[in-house]
This record gives sequence, C-alpha cells and structure tokens, in this order.
Amino acid sequence: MKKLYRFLTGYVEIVISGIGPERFLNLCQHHGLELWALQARDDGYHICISLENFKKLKGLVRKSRVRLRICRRTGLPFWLYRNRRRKLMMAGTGCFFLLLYALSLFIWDIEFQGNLHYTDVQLRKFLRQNGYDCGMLVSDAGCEQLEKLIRNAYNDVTWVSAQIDGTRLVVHIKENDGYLKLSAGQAEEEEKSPSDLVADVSGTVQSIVTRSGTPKVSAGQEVKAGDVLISGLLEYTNDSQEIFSQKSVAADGDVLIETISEYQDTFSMTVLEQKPVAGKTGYFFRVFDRQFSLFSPGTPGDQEEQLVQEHQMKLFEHFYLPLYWGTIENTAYALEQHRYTEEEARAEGEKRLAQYLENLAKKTVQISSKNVIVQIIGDNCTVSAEVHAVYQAAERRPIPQENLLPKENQTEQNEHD
Amino acid sequence: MPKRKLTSLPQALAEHFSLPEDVVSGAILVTMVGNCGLRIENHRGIMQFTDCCLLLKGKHKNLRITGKRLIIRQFTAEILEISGMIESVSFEMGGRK
Repeated sequence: MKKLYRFLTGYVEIVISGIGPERFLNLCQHHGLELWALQARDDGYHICISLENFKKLKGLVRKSRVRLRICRRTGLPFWLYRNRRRKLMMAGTGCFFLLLYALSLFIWDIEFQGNLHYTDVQLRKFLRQNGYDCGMLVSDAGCEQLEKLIRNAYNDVTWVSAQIDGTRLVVHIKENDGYLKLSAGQAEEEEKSPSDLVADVSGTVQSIVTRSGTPKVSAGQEVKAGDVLISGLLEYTNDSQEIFSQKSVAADGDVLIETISEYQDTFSMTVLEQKPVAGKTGYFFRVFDRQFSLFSPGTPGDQEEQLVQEHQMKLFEHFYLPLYWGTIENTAYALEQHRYTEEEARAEGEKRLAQYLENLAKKTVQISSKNVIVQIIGDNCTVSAEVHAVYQAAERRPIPQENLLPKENQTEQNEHD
Repeated sequence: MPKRKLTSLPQALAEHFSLPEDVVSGAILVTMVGNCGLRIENHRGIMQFTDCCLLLKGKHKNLRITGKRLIIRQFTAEILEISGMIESVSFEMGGRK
C-alpha cells in the first residue's frame, strides 16, 4: 500500500554530495521529512524523497552546504505531465472508466439457486415476462416485488430470496417438499383406518409377522395377487365357536412374498452406430445482442451435431459484463452398421438384464437372477433368465361389508395405537 | 564490604516501577531480524554512513553497525531501518546526555 501511495503522490531520487551529507540527513530527520532507499555510492548518497517533502529541501541544502541533483522522477504526477499532450489517450482512459461505471448500473446476469423442479429456462422466461431481464437497471430491479411475484406464481415454492450482487441478480428458491409429507400423512391416515393387508403379487409367502389383525396365510403357502394376507377383522367366539363380536382394526404386519418370474429379451445383432467423421470449430464474440463470428461452421445438417460453449466476461466475482465469447463446434456423424461379436452380444444382454433388475429393485426387498442364458440365433440375440424377487406386501383394502356382522356386534377401533 | 551495583537513577526508577527502560533512560532500541534487517529507535542522528559502516549517535553511547551493501530502507524522526549483510553491531563510548 505504501508503494502505491508513493507512486500516486510521486517521488524523486536525489543524489547528495558535498562536505557534510550526514548533517543534511540529520536536518531532514529533525524536520520530520521521510527518506527511504538511502544508499551510499561513489557519487554520493542516493535518497528517495516524496515530491511534497522535496519542495521543503531548499533551506536544508543551503544550511548543510551540499549539492543536490535529481536523478530520477517517478510517480503519477510525472507520468501525467509527460503525457499531457496525449489528449486522446486521456480521453480514452476516461471513457473506459466511465463506460465501466455505466455498465455497473445494469443487471447482466441472472442466477437461480435451489431450484430442482423448475428449470432455469422456465424461471428466466417467467422473469422476462414480468419485466426482469439482463440489461435492466439495477435500481429498477425490485427484489421484494420479484420475491412476491415468484411466490404468487409458483404454489410449491415456499421461500424466495432475491439479491443483487454487483451486476448479478441471484434468486434463491426453496421448493416445497411438503407434497411428500402430505402424501405420507395421507398414507398414515389410510393405515389407521380399518383395512385388510392384501398381496399385490402372486407367489409364495416367505415369512409373516403379524402386529395387528388376524393372519390368513402362513409361511410356505401359495398366494395369488389380491388374496388377503392379514385380515383387519378380530373375531371373538364363544364356547360354541360362534362369532358373537367383531372388532375392526387396521391390519399391520410384515409379509414377504417370494416370486419367480421369467425374463426374456431379444435384440438384433446388427446395430447402427454413430461415428464422428469430421468436425469444424468456429469462434464467436457477442456484445449485447450483436454476434461476431470467426470461421463459423454454419447451421448443422441432418447428420451433424452442434455444440455451443458460451462464456460470459466478468471483471470480479459479481461484476458481469454484457460480453460473451465461445466456440461453436459442428461434428458430422456417419451411420455405420456394426455387428456384435459374441462377447459384445453377451455383454449387451447382461447390461439390459442388469438395467431391468435395477428398476425392479426399487420395489422389492431382495432380488436375484439365476440361469441366465444368452442365445444367438441368426441375426437375433435372446437373453432369458429366472428372476427371483421378494416383495413386501403393502397393499391395503377396506374390509368388505359382507364380512361384517350387524352394527350392534361390532366394536370400532376408536383409539389409534 | 559488599560491592555496590553501579546503576543510574533512571535505571533504578525503571526497575523499581517496572517501566520500559528505553523510554525512561532514552537508550537506543535495536530490533534485529536475522543478519539482514535492523530496526533502530531512539537514535540522535547519523554520524557516518558508508556502504559498509553506519555510525549512529545515541544518548549515552554510539552504535556502530558494520556489514556489506548497507541500505537505509527508511529514515524518519523516530525509526531507522537498515537492510543488507550485517556483520556486527557494537556500542562505542560517546553520545551526549
């Protein structure tokens, strides 16, 4: 900082020679004049002193009877004096800073954070429709109005915060995950109302643990989809085994059903593959909405893909400018027929099977495949396997009316456990 | 008979009241950083300065610094900073009360 200050105010390097240069130094010290970079050389003492203090040296030089010579002038005042005739350069420098200041009065970038369900493009379009876009004045960008607009327009946005950092409008959004909580609450409500637990797939009951209700199946028993596994009816019998009273509860328990299903998939051994043939790269530079291109590859054709990479210029972290540059790359593809080798076909078949099992695993407790067979017949490859899956029964069904005794023999479950 | 310790009155006062001795007695304060930097306070002026020797006037004693390529980085009324290859720092008789 000191160096910068010295440069801005200007300083000189002087050479002191004579009979008593030490006296001159002591006089400077006594008068509070700061000196630095003092060196003793053959031609005298080389000293740096600020421009302001240099003007006070006349009396001291006379008093100490030394000779003073300026050997170097450094600093902004001297630079300005040397270039005083370069009016255009001064004007250009002034215009540059003026332009920079003018650009800092506008918004040049809008960023969204925290949005998962709504894309940046959607939100940007919404903002544009309501008058918020790049190129608007910072003073016109009302953050509070913007927050209200977004909250009113999007029901599942619970919290919005808009702030302006430099030339950047940053919008923080918190989306509502309460839908999930609501549906979980609804599920909880359903679970508490009297209902039967039924099988959603056909298979063999692997294990059954009843927490509430009457089990209707046992381990090892075959069940079909829709069969009642745990009944929500608790029947009270008398000595003659007649049902004299019933109680309806929400059936609860863990029932694991094992299923074995066949998986089969057939695909062609010959596929069309896209192979890049040639590519052309062009460059562009954009100011506001005007774009200048260099070696532009043109519009992509049918067998071509275009990739555009754009970067926005910024001076500091939040000082964005309406200047963009980037590359446009056109890549041409040729479609080639490729026939899988045996290993490739096997790998492709296994990959498809793995994908199927992965999707199935989201709904199951345990999944495995056995007896995987890959057969190549002619131009087709067939993959077959036996898929063993264990599901947890979770489907509920209200207790059928025909199973219920007249109201006077029933006891409703009033309290939730 | 036990020997008397030779201390001056300012030193005795500084010791008794736990005051900084350089402030009370006006002695030169030398802060050294390795052998390439030296900061001096409470000096009374430069008596001699060359490329390899610097003689400073103190209140009671003079301070001689010898070395090579000595440069005074900063010289103000309060502080004197030297850089270079410092070989020795010694005190000589002299000074003025």
